[in-house]
Amino acid sequence: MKIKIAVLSEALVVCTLSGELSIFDEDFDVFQKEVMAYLKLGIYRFIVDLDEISYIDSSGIGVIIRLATNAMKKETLVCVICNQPHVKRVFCVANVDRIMKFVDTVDEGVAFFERTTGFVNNGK
Amino acid sequence: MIFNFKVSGTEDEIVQFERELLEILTRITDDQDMVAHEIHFCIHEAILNILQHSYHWKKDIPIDIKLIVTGSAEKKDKVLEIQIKDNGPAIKAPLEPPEKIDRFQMRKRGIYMISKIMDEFNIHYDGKSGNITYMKKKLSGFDDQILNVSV
Repeated sequence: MKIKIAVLSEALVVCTLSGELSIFDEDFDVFQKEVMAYLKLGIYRFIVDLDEISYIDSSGIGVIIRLATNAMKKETLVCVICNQPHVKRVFCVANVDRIMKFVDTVDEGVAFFERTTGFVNNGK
Repeated sequence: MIFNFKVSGTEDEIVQFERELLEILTRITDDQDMVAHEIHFCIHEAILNILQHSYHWKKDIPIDIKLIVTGSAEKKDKVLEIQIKDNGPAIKAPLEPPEKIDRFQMRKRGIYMISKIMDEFNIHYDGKSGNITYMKKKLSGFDDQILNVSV
């Protein structure tokens, strides 16, 4: 799995993943620890781009649920980009599709957080 | 048609097996990509369940996986049965997946999802040396199937 993480204005994390989001992937722990580190910093706005993910398992879903739980405490949602039907289907069967906001692009996710949480993207 | 596999709990071996598995499932399901992925997901979760709860992440104990395909797509009676045998301690009682699951619940989500995807699913002691994870899925007449997901 390839992981790319960007932090916008020290308040919004964009995770772009490709490959397999599965506990058997050697980089799964890295991703999980990165996410936990940002949560500990108090960041609760996350956009997770799964468009290049070929597979997600319950452990991967667990990470998204953790983000969603944290976001819910701040009365917002985790944004997920996912246009692969079989990955989207997994979210539906897992019954977690309603605790996340599906967006088509990172910009749409940023706009969602600007509109709903007062996030200001100052370009840093 | 029967396919037999033996895998250990090492990540490399499981990843290799799962790649081969997806190719086989795509053929078995007559290129119904979504169904192949769903069954693949269930087998992955069943193996994960064994490694986590039966083997406690010990990676040197084998898991035997058997796929049995009967019937045909033409006759609309094609069925896939999956038996996954582990060599862990006997489970005390046959496992019952939860009927409902909270949206934020982490535990048991994998087995909940298996129970929603497969037509039959249970885990039981084989009476001798381990446990059997049994799954069954009809591979014909998908148009008539409605996924039953409860909150």
